[in-house]
Amino acid sequence: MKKQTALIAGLAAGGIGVAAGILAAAGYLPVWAAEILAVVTFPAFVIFIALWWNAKSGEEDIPFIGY
Amino acid sequence: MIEYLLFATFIGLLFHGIHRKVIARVQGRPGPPIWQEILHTLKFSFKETWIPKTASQTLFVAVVFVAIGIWSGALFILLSGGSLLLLFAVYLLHKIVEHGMGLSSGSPYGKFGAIRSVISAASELPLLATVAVIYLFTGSLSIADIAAYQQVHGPLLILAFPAAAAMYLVILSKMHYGPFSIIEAKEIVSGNMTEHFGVWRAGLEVGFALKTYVLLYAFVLLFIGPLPLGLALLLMLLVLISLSFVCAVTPMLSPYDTVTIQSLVTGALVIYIIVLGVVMG
Repeated sequence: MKKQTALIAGLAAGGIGVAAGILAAAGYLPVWAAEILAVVTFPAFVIFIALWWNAKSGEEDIPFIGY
Repeated sequence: MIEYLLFATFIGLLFHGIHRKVIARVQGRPGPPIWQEILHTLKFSFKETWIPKTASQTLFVAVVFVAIGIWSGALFILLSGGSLLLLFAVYLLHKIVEHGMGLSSGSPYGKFGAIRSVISAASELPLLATVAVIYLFTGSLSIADIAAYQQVHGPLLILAFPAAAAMYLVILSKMHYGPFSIIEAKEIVSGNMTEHFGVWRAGLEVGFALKTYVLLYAFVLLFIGPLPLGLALLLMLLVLISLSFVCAVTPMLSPYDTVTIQSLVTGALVIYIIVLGVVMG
C-alpha cells in the first residue's frame, strides 16, 4: 500500500469517528449510531495510521549487499 | 467516542505492563518498566510488515480488524449498560478471532494455537454459569439493571461470591502468562500469534489491551457496582494485581488440565445454581 493512501484512509477513518462523536454530543446523531461508527472506524484508524508510518517513503539508503 | 477507545487502549496496555512487572517482582526478577507494552506495540507498528505466502490473506488481515472492533463494541455495551448476553457474544466472537488468527497463518505453530483455542472453549462455560447466577439474583440481563440492583442490595461480590469467582477464572483464562494461556505457550513459539508481526501484531496488541480493560471493568461493574472512573480504575488495578500473583506462582497447565479445571468450576457453579434455584424459588 502506498504511504499516502494509508494516510488518507487512516485520517478518513479517524475523522469519521471523531465527527460521529461530536454529532452525537450535539444531538444530531443517535448515540448508538455514533457508537457503531466508532466501532467500525477505530480498527481502520489504528491499522492504517500504523501502515502509514510503517510504509517506506522511497528515500531510504540502498543497503550494502557485498562486493 | 474514539477518545475513550484511545484511553481504554492506553490503560489496557499499561495494565499489561503492570501485569508483567508484578509477575517479575513475585518471581524475584527486576522485570520490564510498566510502560513496556506501550513501547512494545509502537515497536511492532514500525517493524517490517507483510503477509506470509502460505497465509489466507483476507482472513489474516481481517482478524486484526475484528479483534479491535469487537472489543471496542464491548466497551460501548458496558458503558451504555446494554445486555450481558451481548458481552457474552463478544467473548464468543473473540474465540473466532483466536481460531482465525492461527488457522489463517498457514504456520503449524499457529494451527496448534488455534486447535488449543478450540480445546479451551471450556473457558466459556464458567462465563455462561456466571450469567445464569446474575440473572437468578437480579432478574435481568441488562447491565444497567444489574448495576441498579447492586445500589439497592449491595455488591454481588458478596451476595453471589461463587459467580464472582467463576468470572475471575474467566478473566484469568484470558491473561497473558497465566496457567490457562495454552494457546500462546512457548513450546509452540507464540501459538496462534506466531505469524502476526509488524503492524498486524501492533493491531492485535491494541485489541487485547481493549479486551483486558473491558473484562476488568465488567468484573468491577457486575460484582461491585457502578463507581466513579478513578475508583473503578483503582479496583481494576487491584483485581489485575491479584491475577498477576496467580499467574506468577502457577505453572502453565497442560491443555487437558485446563479443560478439567474449567469444567469442574462450571460443575460446582451448576450445583450452586440448582441450590440457589431451590432456595430462591
